[in-house]
Amino acid sequence: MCELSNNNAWDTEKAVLVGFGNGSGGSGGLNGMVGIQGNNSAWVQDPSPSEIWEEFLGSTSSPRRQVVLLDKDLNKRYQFQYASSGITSAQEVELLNAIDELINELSQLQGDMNQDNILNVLDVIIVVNMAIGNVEIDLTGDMNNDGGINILDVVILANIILTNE
Amino acid sequence: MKKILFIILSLSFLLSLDYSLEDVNETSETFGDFVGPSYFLDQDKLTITFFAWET
Repeated sequence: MCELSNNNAWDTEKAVLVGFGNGSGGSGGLNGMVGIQGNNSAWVQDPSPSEIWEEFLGSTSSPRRQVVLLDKDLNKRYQFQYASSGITSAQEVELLNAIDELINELSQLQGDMNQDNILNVLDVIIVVNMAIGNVEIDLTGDMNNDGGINILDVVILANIILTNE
Repeated sequence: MKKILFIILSLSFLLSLDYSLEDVNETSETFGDFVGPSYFLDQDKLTITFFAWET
């Protein structure tokens, strides 16, 4: 039933699988699922009707076998649906690419525009250039997480640098 | 400007998703803990939520 486990090809130090069950549990619910899988993934159960199921998938009647990935701001970035026949190679590649993308975002220091792991004036210059439209926007510089780059981000980044000097 | 910022931040909060539910898998490292995206995010880990079972 489930082809996903922490044995898949992602870095388990940086990404963990949580199996989610919606229902009353028992032999036909999550208890059965844990027994079937027997792997080391976390498994959680939410009583039906599950608000979480609805919030993440759009409806309480949304079908199972779906994977949802959230970004570092807990906003939904990916939702994949898999058939009962299993996950295809192409789907696995798609999933792993999405996981890699989000892991990279998690590990990137916010405001570190030149990716040198240091926040300094060089990063401020890049954010200023993005704010005035001289260079393409990279939301790594979105210091207040408002979905854009503007003078507020420049001020926040400059304050962080000045505070830490 | 402050009002706009407040609205944007509020919308961002409303759009964010999370849960905190007990891990019931005895073979999991987090067995017994209440886990979810923010729980693992605190450990700098991404959560892959697999909506696997509905009854």
